[in-house]
Amino acid sequence: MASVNTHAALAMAFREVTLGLIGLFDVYEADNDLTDATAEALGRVFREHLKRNGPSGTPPASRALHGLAEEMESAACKAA
Amino acid sequence: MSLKEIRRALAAELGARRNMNHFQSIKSSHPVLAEHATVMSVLAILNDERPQAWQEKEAIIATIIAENQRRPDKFWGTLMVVVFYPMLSRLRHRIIGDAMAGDDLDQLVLSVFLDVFNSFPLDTKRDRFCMHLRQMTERRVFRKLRNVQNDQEQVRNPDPVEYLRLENDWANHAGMLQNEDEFPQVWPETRPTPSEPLTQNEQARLVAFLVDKVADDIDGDRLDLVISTQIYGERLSDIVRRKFPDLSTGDRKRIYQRVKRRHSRTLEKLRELLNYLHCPQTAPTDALPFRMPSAFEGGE
Repeated sequence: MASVNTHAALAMAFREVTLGLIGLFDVYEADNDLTDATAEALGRVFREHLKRNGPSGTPPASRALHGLAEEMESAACKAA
Repeated sequence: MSLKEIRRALAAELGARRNMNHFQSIKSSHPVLAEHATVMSVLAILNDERPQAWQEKEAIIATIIAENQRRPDKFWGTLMVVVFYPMLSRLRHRIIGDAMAGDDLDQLVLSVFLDVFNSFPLDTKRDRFCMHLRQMTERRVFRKLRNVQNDQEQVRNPDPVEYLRLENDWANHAGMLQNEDEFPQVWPETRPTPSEPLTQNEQARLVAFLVDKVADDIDGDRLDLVISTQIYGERLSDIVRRKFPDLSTGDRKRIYQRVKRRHSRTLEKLRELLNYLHCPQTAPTDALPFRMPSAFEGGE
């Protein structure tokens, strides 16, 4: 049970970090390449932590971080 | 400062440490905001255009509007301008016209949006906040622009007769002044009562007078023009329409401008030529003081 809670908490923490980065990139008008690379790296770490396979659907490049945040949220819901 | 530059400055302001700390102190009293570690995370949700995010966005915006109305705080205005920048930019670039300069339009759009945000009627509009904010901002911006355009129209298109009357008043007053600084004090604050229309006899006498005094110095067409406006009270626009009935509106406007300039110059020359008949008001009891025209002064 503790593991399930840990997974949910981790997923929510990852989601919060991702949302923070989205806001930060938006404020400083970050380059799309940087956004995509961040989404890819963060997604890899997140999936490795939770031993998950890749995302079910490939999000559009411009919304990669939003797609990742959604994936994290659904993972947290499932874990809980 | 353009809208884009303002948005950049506000976004940087939002990310400043003091605002991060400010958000930490506010968020605990609002469950919708409490789950977000930083304001950047709130910004990310508000910028999320996916349908799944709609409910959370609505809840956050309602909380922000309510909190701002309870305790006005420019932090919320900054956040909302950054979030709604794409909408504001689209609205700004939909406005075509010369009613206001570019920077003024940016400021107008921004100030109207902040007005709408600060006075949003939460009691009557309880959902679809983004749509209502957009619609109310658009309506107020376009209403203000219409008002500005109406004001400008009145200044741009004065009645030519009225304009000439004001010009004459100005010239009469300017002649009485020692220096130009006194001008605002003597400008009439109320409209003078219109004089009685001239009778046919008076008109004929004035025409004869002008022909007698200035016909040698002023071209016949120009003198006719002045007689038509000043003695017969005809409007310049009517004269142009009568003389050029077949012209298009654009061409007629151009000719009207040319005739107006010619008319003003003729009036000016007429004043110079008749200046020697001027009766100064400072000596009302004197008989008509006759002053010789400069051409005759210094003679025998």
